[in-house]
Amino acid sequence: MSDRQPLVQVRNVTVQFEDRLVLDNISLEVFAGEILCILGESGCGKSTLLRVMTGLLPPTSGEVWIMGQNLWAVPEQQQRQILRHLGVLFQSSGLLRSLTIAENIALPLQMYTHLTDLEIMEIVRLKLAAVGLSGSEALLPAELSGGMQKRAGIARALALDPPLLFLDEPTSGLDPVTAASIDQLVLEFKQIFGTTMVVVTHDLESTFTIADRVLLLDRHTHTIIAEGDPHTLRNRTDHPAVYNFFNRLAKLER
Amino acid sequence: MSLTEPPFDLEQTDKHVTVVCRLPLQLSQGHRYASLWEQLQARAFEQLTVDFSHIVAYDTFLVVFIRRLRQLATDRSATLQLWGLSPEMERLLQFFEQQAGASQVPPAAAGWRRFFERLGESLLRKLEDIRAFFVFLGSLIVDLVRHPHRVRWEDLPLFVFAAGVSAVPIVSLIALLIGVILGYQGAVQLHRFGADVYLADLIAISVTRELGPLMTAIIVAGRTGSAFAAEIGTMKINEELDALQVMGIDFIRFLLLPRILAVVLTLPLLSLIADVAGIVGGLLTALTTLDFTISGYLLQTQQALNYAHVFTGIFKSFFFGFVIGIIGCFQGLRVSAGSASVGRAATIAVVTSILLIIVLDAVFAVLFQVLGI
Repeated sequence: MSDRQPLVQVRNVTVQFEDRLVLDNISLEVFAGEILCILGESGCGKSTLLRVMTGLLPPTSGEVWIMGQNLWAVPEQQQRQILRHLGVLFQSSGLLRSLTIAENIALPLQMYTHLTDLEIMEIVRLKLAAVGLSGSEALLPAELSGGMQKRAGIARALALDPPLLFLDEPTSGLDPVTAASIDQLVLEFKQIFGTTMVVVTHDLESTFTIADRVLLLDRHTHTIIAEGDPHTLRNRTDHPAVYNFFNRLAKLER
Repeated sequence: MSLTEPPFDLEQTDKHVTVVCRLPLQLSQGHRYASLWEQLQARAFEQLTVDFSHIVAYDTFLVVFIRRLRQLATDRSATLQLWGLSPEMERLLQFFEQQAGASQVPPAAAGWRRFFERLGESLLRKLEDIRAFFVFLGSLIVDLVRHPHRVRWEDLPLFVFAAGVSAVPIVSLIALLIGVILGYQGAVQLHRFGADVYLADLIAISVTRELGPLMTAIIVAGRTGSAFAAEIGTMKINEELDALQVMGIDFIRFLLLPRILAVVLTLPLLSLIADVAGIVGGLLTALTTLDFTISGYLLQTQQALNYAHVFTGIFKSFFFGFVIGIIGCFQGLRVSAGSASVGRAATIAVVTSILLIIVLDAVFAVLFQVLGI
């Protein structure tokens, strides 16, 4: 793995809110073409890590390098340029409620390309077809089910064909069948477009299906406590927290 | 790739056009192929060959590009040949072809037909709105009359405070200023006829009969009517209304009646306060522009006013309050989904209540005239 050039590098990132430590000296790399899953219990800071990597939250200390550029050290203008290379699916889809699905997906295309309206509408149709939402162009986000909203969110995140895609809990709140279909979609996009993906999740089933590599964040130490192939990690018994997480064992704190 | 390099080469021999693509077929570069379409449009050809062998970078734009080429070839009944597509490109094309093949968007109706369709649809929707409103009004009245003990009276003081007490400062200020403005305009006109003393009459009667209740109702429609619509609408989105229904609690009695009654009860009181503030505003103008004394002005006001003037205003206020409360709640219930829909409900609530208030006021004006009140 190390011979490949990392697309994203997180170096010694620490995030602290007031006196509450959320991430403690986190370093990680994302390589081109892989799907990296960031796992952890609720409140372990995995969403915070995603916010740091997607330019939403400046870290208290540390650096984030995306495609060879230091995301948090460059001027704002350049930061926006970097962010254009990545798509983000938000946990609650992040679709603009006042726009139709087609308008949501057309928005980045209108903002960042010089294509004609006709071409943009064609791209929107293709993207919607690709996520299995043909015919819902004129609907409002609120008129879609949860799974369909996630699909539309993915279509918007992919509107500009970004080489790098961040997915925040893509399968949470979905039934197993719908969740599995999202997993298939993710794998399909990886295969067809070679998109590199960082997935924040606590859905083990989905992780075993899609992940090339996983990172496990710990809620108490705020650090990465395990890294590697999910199937290997599941059978590791030397670290109780890792074992419990991958084998869904409860640890009641009473 | 330098910017001066042409995006593509185009050659024509006889009826055969050959295009060699050179620039990346990417979304960010796609607009630079715009001239290709113009050139192809302008030429006559029976065979079109497009060479992709020089393309290294590409994305979804490739798919759009090829679909457009195919469309063009079909329109011209020309044969299209694609050269040099890499296996990866083929796979990308196939992927989208597969997905998009299944979907065919139904063609939209012709312009004028669509216009009439929309017109009819919106008319039917309006009629349905009106019907729904009267159904709502009916169930509200039935509930209030038949089960008054089931209304959630505990909440009433809360809403009386929100809709009434906290509106006192803004209502008084606006009424005071209206009194001042009316006073200035009146003073100028009356002074020309030497009828200075009737300024008190002008202010007292117009404020108590019309401006006090009307301004108060408009302010409360903006403050409280919109708040009701937004509040109820949000509750509906959050499934709170469904939860009440499942628990067997009637939300009309539980949520709506306390709100509506609060406005009906407080609006007349607010109007009274507005009357007083308006008269004080007139007094301020009278003292500063004309030779009035405080006691002289008040005495003249006392003579001008009778119970009929004040009570017609108060009487109207009850109806205005009813309109504000009902329209606010009704629009809240019509919220369907999404935050935009809540905003729309609030806007419609305010606009409709103000319109209805003014229409009602006009009706009352005629009515009182006929009845000689």
